[in-house]
Amino acid sequence: MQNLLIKHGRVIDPSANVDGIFDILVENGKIKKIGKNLEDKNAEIIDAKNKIVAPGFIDMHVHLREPGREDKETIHTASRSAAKGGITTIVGMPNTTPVADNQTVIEYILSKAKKESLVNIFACGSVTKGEKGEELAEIWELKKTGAVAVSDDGFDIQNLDLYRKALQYCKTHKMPIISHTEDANLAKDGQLHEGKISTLLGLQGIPACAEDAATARILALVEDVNHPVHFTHVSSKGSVDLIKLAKSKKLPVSADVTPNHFSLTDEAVLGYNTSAKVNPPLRSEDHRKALLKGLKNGTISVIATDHAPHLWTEKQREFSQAPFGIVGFETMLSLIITNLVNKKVLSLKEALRKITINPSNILGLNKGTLKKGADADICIFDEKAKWTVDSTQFESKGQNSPYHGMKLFGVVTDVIVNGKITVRHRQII
Amino acid sequence: MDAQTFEKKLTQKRKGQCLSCTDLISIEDLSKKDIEMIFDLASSTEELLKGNMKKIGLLKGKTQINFFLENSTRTRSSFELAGKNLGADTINISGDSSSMKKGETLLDTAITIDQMQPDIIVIRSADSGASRFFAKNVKAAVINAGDGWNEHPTQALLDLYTITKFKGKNLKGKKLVIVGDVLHSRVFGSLWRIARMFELSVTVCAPYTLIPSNLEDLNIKHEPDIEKALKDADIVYTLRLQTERAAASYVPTLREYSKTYIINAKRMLLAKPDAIVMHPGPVIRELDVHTNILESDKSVIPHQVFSGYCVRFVVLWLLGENRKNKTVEKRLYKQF
Repeated sequence: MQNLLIKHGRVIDPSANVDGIFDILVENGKIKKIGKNLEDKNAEIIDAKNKIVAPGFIDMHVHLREPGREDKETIHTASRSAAKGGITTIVGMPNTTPVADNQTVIEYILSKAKKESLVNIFACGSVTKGEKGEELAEIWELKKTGAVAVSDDGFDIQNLDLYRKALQYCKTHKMPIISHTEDANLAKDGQLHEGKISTLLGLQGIPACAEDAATARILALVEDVNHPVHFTHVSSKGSVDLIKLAKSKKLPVSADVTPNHFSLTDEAVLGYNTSAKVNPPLRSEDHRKALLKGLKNGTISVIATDHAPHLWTEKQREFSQAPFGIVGFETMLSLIITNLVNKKVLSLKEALRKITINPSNILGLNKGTLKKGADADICIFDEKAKWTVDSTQFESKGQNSPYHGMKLFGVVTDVIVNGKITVRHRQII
Repeated sequence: MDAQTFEKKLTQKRKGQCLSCTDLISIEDLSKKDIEMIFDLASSTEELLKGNMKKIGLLKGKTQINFFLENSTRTRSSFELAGKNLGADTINISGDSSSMKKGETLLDTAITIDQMQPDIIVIRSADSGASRFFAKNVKAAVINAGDGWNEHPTQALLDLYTITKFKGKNLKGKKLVIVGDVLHSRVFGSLWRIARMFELSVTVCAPYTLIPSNLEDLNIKHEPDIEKALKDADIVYTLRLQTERAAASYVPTLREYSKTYIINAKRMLLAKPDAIVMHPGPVIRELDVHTNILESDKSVIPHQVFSGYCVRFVVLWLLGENRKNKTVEKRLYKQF
């Protein structure tokens, strides 16, 4: 493997509190050295002048769709899409067909990833068999096979006795739980956030209290069992408040938000726009502001996309019959720069921390850093470059994006995964 | 009056004017001027439609398809009759008899139906937004005959047309009280929009379980107490409570709902002496409205039905000639 020398870039590595103009030398797939004026005659030179050099991004919440729905996305196409967005590590949620509730499915995903993926793929198993919320999955074996967490994403476990046992059992085997937080009865048949827009469109709403109430009851269990829960795609003001309170009590909890929820409100759904149909739903501006505040004060320490590709046909239909979900990889960085960094919600370093070292620490991935000896996962991007989103040009099979046609800032130019150049001059190699 | 004289009279009254929209999906597609033109023309059609010879030829040679994915008595029959009276050829497709039963999508159904070159498609669907979706994908003029809980614009037109007959053309400040299942009502969806345009004051009256959220943002008052709500009302508009709402706990029992919200003669004493009672139908007697109102002069419900016939006649005529002018929205599909 040829050495790489990335020169003259502004290196930002939140894990080491680094922010300055440095060169990076990559040898044998690892970070060999960071410093000024590095030389290596045998190395391939990447000029990163006027660009940001950061650890490759980590997206801890994605839907690979394989096995089962390869028509929507495959491990290969998902990995191309992630690489294009500067994301070098992704964690696949278990709601595949069949559900990743056993070692066979986890082994299939990981072995397929080894053969066909351009980026690092980790798998998340399910908490319960078939994500049905009735009986525990074989969590010890899921972990032994390589799953890094368990989640019933797409659903929430409604039976609190079972949830408590899940926490106790996961504590036994040191397996973190990722919570899709939703009271099933309150959210039943809902299509979008309950509020002015749901009234204007005459559609059944999903009230914010469906998430708040579920957050509160799970926090009661976390306090009882004292085992880590990560609240994913947090969308409501109430749940941000509850998680903040739990953190102040030193409960082992963490949270992420998607770029969709901090960028858009339910107004994006007007006109029955199915590409903005997502669960949890895009909420009103007061909720969006609470999410921004949560990002700023650290209550929300991670940004994850919930990348959810669907067929064009499935979204070209009656709103209430279209599936929930938005593709996220190829717009993630640009939405962070455009809506968080440029609007002074977060510094670039703090923003990058939420897509590098923080998710790595929560799941114990040992990624997301440029420290000497680390895996050479690197993303180089132009923070100031502007582009227009064209969802028909995505590497993902999905084109279900509400950002089509929008002008955003931030373009990924080069990506290195485990020391190998994967994207060069915005093209996948 | 013979058909030709009548056609001439209507055409002269229209003065070559067109609606500002090519489809009628929402009340918001129409301007106030559009609505006033519709009412003006509707009043002229009353004589024709009450007469012995109802058929004219203003839409002769045009095709109208009534595509009803949900049941309907008055809406479908009035659209069909009005279309036939105008001289159009009309056919009906119902949900049960369409290929959607076999799995054809609404998009493909739209593409297919439009290839029959219809001039007008009247559509009703259980899905909010389906009518707009359909309209974007066909060249025919689409008239929304009800989509889910969203809108039913010709209902609001006929309602306001009926109201003007009893309350005059200047409706500013008149108190409209809407009682019943507001949450699940597309009639409400169009009614508040047209009431806003004509500056009526709108109060809804129902338990909190049957009220959509954020009505205050739309300048609509909610008064859960029927006795308070009816005070000084000019128009009392009752909505049907579907019997299955009790099973889903929107109300405990139909019995209790009827006791707390039925419009009866005693309650109507609280409204203005000349207040009228309306209902979009089908009325459930003794649940929504008591027979002592239905059989009184206060009820204008039969007038509403005839108004619907006239208003739909006009809307069909005004939108029935646009096929050549309308463009289908370009669909954005990623090519591999």
